[in-house]
Amino acid sequence: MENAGYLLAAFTLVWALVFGYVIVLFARERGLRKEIESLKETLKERQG
Amino acid sequence: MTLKRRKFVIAAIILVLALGYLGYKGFMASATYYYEVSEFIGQQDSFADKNVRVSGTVATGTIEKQGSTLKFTITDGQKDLPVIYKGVVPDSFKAGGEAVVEGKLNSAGTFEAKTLLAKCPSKYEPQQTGG
Amino acid sequence: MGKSYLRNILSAVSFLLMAASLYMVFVYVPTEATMGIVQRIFYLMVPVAWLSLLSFLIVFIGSILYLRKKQSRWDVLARSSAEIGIIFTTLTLITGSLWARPVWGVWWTWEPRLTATLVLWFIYLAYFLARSLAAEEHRGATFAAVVGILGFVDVPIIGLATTLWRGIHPGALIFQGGLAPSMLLTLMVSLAAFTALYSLLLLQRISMKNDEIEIKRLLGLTAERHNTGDR
Repeated sequence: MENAGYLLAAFTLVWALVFGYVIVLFARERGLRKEIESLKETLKERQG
Repeated sequence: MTLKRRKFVIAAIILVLALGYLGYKGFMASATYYYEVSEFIGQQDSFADKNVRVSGTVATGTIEKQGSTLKFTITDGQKDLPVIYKGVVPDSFKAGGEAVVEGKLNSAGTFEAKTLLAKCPSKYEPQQTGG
Repeated sequence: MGKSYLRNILSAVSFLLMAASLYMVFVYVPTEATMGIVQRIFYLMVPVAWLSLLSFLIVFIGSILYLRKKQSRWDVLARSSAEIGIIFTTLTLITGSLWARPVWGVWWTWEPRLTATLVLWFIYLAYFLARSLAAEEHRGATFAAVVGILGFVDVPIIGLATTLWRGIHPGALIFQGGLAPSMLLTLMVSLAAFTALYSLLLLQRISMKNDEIEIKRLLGLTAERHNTGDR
């Protein structure tokens, strides 16, 4: 049972990094989508 | 454009490094990661003062632990090599298993290992219940 | 939007498979006889290593298609996969190191497969740096594509390293029946989980890149209208 530390470290690290990456990606995408919407709004206003 | 220039230099260095490593790998293909016991003994003079890796099976009944010093013999079925080692012993190290030792032959004919690596089993088997 | 729907499905599938994998790794699968519980890192090690290679395969394909067809969508595919790939290569090196320490006794050794994997990490890095060599988008993408094609040679080297050269990394025990059935099943589920995750990350990253391109385009239009329209 002594090497449980290594096992735990490996799983925690991989999961933390992967999860973190997923969260960052989804959060940034939301930001990008918002920016697209707002730019489209601006363009529409300018036209009308 | 100093920033661009610096990026260029870094990129060039990385590229050269990567290619260099690939070349090194190719070189490693002809050089070897380890020698078998018979190969090592056969060429031991040419290794005189160099750090070498030797691989073999740990002969049963040859493992002795004296304090922090570990003594054992590795063999490839044809020749034997006595080894002496001080340091962390990997979990997979056991009689009948394969080990790779890194070090030099000393004047007494014993291999002084600085590093001891044990090869993983070639099969993964479930533990028998009890532990 | 079709893409969003696919991503939602992939999210659900990935989540379920990951949960199943975790259960199997920590509850279902038996402990290995020689190495004890630390052997369970195997169910992490193989998937992340697999993804580091799969990612570069996609980089390779995207790079070839980009050079052939000159369409930016292939470059988007390649660079998205490269970003995911370098992350998983990093994870491969770290996971491997954490396993090596208790089992081999060292954090690192210059044996063929390990060395080739480190080289892969540098090749991924070179892919990104090559892109920034050029001031102009298209030329940068072309440089990157060249790295993506030449660098692919390392992938079969990693794959075949244990059969071609002497080393200490275990060989093909997966394919040679070296796994108990419950272990093989756990491994397959873990591989499926990570592959689903990779697909999700790839689609997500591609979508974001396309968003960024779209924003640039819209900004360009906004500037135009601003100049020619009323205040």
